[in-house]
Amino acid sequence: MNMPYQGSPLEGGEQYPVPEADLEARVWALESLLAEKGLVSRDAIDRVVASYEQDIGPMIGAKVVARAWVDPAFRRRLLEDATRACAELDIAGMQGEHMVAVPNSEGIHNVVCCSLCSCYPWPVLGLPPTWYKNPQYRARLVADPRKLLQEDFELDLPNDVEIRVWDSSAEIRYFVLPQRPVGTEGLTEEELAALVTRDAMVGVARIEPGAGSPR
Amino acid sequence: MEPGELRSVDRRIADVLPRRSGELIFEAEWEKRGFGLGIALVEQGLVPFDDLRWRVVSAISLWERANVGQEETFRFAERWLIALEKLLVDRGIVSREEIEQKIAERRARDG
Amino acid sequence: MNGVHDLGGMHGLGRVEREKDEPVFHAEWERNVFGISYVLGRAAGLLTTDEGRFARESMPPLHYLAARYYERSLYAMTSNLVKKGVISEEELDARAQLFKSSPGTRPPRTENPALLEMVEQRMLRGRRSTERQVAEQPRFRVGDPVMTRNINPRGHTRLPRYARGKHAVIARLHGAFVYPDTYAHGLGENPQYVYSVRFDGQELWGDQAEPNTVVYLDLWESYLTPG
Repeated sequence: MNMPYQGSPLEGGEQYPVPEADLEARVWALESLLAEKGLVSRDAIDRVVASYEQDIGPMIGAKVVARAWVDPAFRRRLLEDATRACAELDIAGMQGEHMVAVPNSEGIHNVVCCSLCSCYPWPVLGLPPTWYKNPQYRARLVADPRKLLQEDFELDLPNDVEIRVWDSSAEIRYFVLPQRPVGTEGLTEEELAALVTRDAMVGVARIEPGAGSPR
Repeated sequence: MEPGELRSVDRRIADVLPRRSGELIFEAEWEKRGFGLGIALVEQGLVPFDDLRWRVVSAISLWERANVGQEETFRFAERWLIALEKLLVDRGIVSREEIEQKIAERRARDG
Repeated sequence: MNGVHDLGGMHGLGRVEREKDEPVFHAEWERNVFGISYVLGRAAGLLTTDEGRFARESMPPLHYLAARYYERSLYAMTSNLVKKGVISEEELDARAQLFKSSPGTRPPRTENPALLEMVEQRMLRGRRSTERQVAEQPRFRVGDPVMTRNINPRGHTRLPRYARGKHAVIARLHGAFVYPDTYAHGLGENPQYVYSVRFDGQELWGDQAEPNTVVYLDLWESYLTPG
């Protein structure tokens, strides 16, 4: 069994943060060693990076949400088995093998985190933002969500709204199905999708003009 | 179109309307007309304001996502007009063909 | 393990800071760490997710808290590769020295059609689930009151400290999944049922906690006892 670090954990604080030049050199070294062993290649690395920089992102989840808003039968299927429902729209992939969509309602607001690391529903939201992976969000959301959302996300939820925090501790990946805003009856599915933000699908924002939080 | 009439306009839209010393500024005549047209349609009950509001928000959002890093090229009036045009077409008030036709006629006339 | 990564409920870490229009990656090295770990991640079972998590958790605490996210990824990946004998710390250090001493150089471009194909097919599209079928029946049903065990393993676990020895209710049965507490240490898959478990905020944090707050955790059956 791999034992935890045995040296003095409180020594050596002055060496952090590690200079970027050192990190860069180490990563080039890793790539070159692994490529020599045939375990990675530049074209494969480039392909992965391009996918997650350009193709896989919250626009995908927004389409799912918009479809659920306009199609009640799809919404039912999404809430029953989000992985299967997303697959109908050809949405699938790593970190999305077991997805669950959690619906907001008048009395319930959902918000997602991973207090232990950074688990996140990649196929519908892409890679998580830094704040989601950093210690502050992970520490505070499970304990004081209402205060955190108000102070750091300008999202005020009254005490009579139940806040459900989904701490992704296993392989199930959660995203929020926000409520469709009032007054959007005339919008097309594409226009509706444009209203759905990454932050709303994580649960740190709502969808209404003047809600204030950035994407 | 008096600035005071903007009190009924959604705060978020109002925030992005270009102003100088609190007064609305329009860079071109078409901007003023486009804005006035939308407000007039709402006030005459032909289109619900919420529908127009959400379409503008949606159009802005789409533009922002496609133009990260180029925020200084944002023109609210363009987004407004695009949203308004789509609303009119979606509601059957005008058709896409009618719009194209009118544009062609206008171009021919103006040389 | 009761490491610094187990952050739920910790105080004093400061405000959430968000970067406007944050890019997916901030630097070339971050891109490469992600790309390499992704390609390696399922290459001949070289590195499992659970092993990667435990490696991250085993980082010296000061480094963990001071590190950028992709530094933690890099640390986890290299420590596992060294542990498995794929590379040695010495050769990595030596090679890094070479690159550091001539800034601007990078490895020669490599192409591997088979690897590229695998990335395209299996990873960007395919399913690689840790769900398994087991013969046993689930011990708990939706609505059952449960209590989480007070376990404090030195190795990997996915039961956070804030939720140990607490009363809760079964909200959903997800299915049976590979058990990380053993799998992270090469001690077998040992799949168990995983449940969505609902905790009242005040059960977790006391009477002074925010009212009307609920936390859901996904927990393996052996983390739970009947309530």
